[in-house]
Amino acid sequence: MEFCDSINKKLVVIIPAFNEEASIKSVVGKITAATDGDIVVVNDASIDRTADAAQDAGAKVLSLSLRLGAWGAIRTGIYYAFRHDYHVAVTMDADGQHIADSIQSVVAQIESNHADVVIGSCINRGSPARKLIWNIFRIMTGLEIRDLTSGLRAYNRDAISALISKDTVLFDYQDVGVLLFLRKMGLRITEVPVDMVSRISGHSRVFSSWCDILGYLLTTGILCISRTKQ
Amino acid sequence: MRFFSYHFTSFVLGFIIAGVIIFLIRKDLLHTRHASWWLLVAGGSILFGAFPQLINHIAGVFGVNYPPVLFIVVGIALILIKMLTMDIDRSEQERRLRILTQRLALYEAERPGVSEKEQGPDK
Repeated sequence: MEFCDSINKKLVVIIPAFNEEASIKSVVGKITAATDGDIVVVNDASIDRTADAAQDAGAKVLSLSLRLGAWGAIRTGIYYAFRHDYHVAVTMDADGQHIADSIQSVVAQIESNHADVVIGSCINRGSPARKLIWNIFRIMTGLEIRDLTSGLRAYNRDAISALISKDTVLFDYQDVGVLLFLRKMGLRITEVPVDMVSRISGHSRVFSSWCDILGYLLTTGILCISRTKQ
Repeated sequence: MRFFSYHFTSFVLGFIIAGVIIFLIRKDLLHTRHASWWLLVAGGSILFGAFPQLINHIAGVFGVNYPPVLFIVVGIALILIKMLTMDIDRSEQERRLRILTQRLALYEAERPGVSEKEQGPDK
């Protein structure tokens, strides 16, 4: 697609995937059609054929020996982007919720130098409970981001360099903790509205059970308290 | 029926702890970095067992009427400190393990063929 070529910047799309055999081929195919950027699928120790399916679809596959969770997989992709001198890294979910054409929307903000980090936000998708949680975390942290958990994000070179810091290794999710870190580093964060659709298969890794939700709330709440206004 | 005073028990316990620590180091089951803490605890246990008036004196300084209570409270505090340092250590190990796993993924991806050759029976 022209938007990336026109300004001659290297783009990589990073997709963390855990047991996404059913959807990954389609997701990679749609991204390939929408952009000329490279596609990296980080296989988070899947027990199905996710890695083979991604490779068959034409993606570069990084396979983790141990399951590190969503952020661990994304950070691996970010590290790859840093080592290979990519100027822009876009992260997307492997479940097909993000529309490939949205890449253009988030990257455009980076290209125009309006921000270092761009979040593709879709606040309509959240349930009332999820919106309540977003509001609580927003108040606790002072972050002016409406969609704190969106996995569709674009990072410029400064953000990529910052995110490979040792300080980001122990995060579990690409949400509040990462945003607080980026704010602390003085990076500009903005969000653009995008559309999202229902996942092709499977269920959310964060909100898969009440126990997981409770664990997420607890760990993110502790992060909010300990990392805000350092 | 009481056979031993708590001073004697503390004295003997100190020697047992110290003996176990030395044994574990000799068998290469315990890193010397972790042994120093436990040897310190064993030394304290021997010291207060051998000189019970010491704990009585310290308890008096801190206004504790029943000296064994001070002994127990200090013991619990030391255990809590040890547990906290263990969790800090675990966090650092987790950090290193994650970095290693991420770097290994990149290494294997950049050198196709290496990963298959180097895969051991644990993979």
